[in-house]
Amino acid sequence: MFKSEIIELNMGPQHPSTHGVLRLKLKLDGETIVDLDPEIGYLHRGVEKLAENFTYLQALNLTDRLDYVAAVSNNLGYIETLEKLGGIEVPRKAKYFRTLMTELGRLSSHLLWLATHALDIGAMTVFLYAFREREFILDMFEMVTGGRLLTTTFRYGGLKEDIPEGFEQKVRDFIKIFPDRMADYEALLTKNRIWMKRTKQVGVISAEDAINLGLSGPVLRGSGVRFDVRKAEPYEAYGELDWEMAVQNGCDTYARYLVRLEEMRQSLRIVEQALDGMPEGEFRAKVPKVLKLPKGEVYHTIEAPKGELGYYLISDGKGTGPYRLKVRGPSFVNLQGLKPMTKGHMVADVVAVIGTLDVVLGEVDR
Amino acid sequence: MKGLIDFVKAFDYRDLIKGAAVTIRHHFKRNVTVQYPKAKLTPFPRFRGRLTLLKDEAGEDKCICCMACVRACPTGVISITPGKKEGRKMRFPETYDFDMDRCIFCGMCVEACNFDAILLNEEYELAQYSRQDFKFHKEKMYLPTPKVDYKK
Repeated sequence: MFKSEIIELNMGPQHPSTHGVLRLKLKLDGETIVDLDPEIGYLHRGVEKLAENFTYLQALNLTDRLDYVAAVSNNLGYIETLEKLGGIEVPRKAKYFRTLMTELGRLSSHLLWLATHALDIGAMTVFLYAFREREFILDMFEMVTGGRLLTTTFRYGGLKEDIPEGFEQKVRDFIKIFPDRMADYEALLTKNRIWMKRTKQVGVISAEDAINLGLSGPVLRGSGVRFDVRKAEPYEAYGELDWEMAVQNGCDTYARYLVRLEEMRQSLRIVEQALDGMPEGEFRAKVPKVLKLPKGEVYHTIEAPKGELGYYLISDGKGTGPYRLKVRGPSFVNLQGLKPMTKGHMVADVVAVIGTLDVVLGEVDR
Repeated sequence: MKGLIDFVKAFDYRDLIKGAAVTIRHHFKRNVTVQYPKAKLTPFPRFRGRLTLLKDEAGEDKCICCMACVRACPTGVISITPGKKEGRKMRFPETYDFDMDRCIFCGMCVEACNFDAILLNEEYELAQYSRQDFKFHKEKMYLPTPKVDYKK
């Protein structure tokens, strides 16, 4: 009697909930999603090709602009790749400080994720509170590097400049206030009935599927897989500090929310320990003014806030810049999980799943 | 039976009261925001603002046109014409052009400079009305960026 028809709906690229310029082609049966096709590339800038025409130091600017909400992690991954190929020993002080900065970056990235994820689902208060704390961290970045978002921090062989005066006090202030603020977010969300209804059993992905798709970071650990690059192959000072990996078995959006909250608490622990155990001494190893790396290929991964961030670098041994630079962005790979997670759900759940995957389109498109 | 339990549980408003308590508590806290442009924040000393040329105590250019900043710049916004002056052993910048509209404020030029001749200052209100105003020449480089005054 009634004719049913599958309709196609475009979501984005100018949709506020797609976190940038992500376009989704949804195939809908009523309000249920039958099929979904992410269209990417609206923010493509050719970062990998641009890097070939830059020197090693200049290419650092490009890494800032990949995942622009966690620029410190991107800088660290790139600089460590160079150091791996150059075979240079980094002073212990630089290692500790880099760990501290990266964890602050992770906190700021997770705060932005919490803010926007909650805003997408409908909890605006958390958005404002989380941005207040993020501002605190961005102030610290400005203090150390001069940039708030695009930090361009760290250099081959250590740090660019020594730790500024007053920085330690600022971090201590932050460590003091932050657990209370975390309790505020949890009071607003964790047991909230609307939050639970919107996130529990939404965007379910099994551990096996998650591994097969190559998902990493909190998305993988939310499915009960114990994998964190910081534990598996400790870099910088992570091996010397005491912290735990956050894992949940729920496989859904709620589990990933809990994983990220736990990660924020662990990050704060790492920050505190790194600050207490900050060694004295040099902040940068002796390096030549113009950086030249030996001929070779190297791949290095670190745990960025979004997941496993890898850089593949080829040096021809002649030039002062990368011969080829390939970036393995966690957001790009995590976006593959969108289709299996949303199939059979409602349109409104797509927004929740994009939020929980925490994609940054600067990194997806590159 | 399960339906009845769920119905009764729906009146357990503890989760919502807990959340509301947080928001109400925040009503009595001090504001963290600043009413820009009436009030302005001061950036930290390392803030990367607009590129400025520096002079030494005698009022001479510190720059000796070694072109390190030109080579270090990833976007190529600096161009210098070196010149000779009587009574000065080193070269001096006859022109020092800087296109602010393409500058990414990375600070690579300042890092490359061996003579502390340039600096990224603490200005952050860099918007201009015309594209020509973003082209900075040597004379403009010493001065602060012209500011637009907001009446209200």
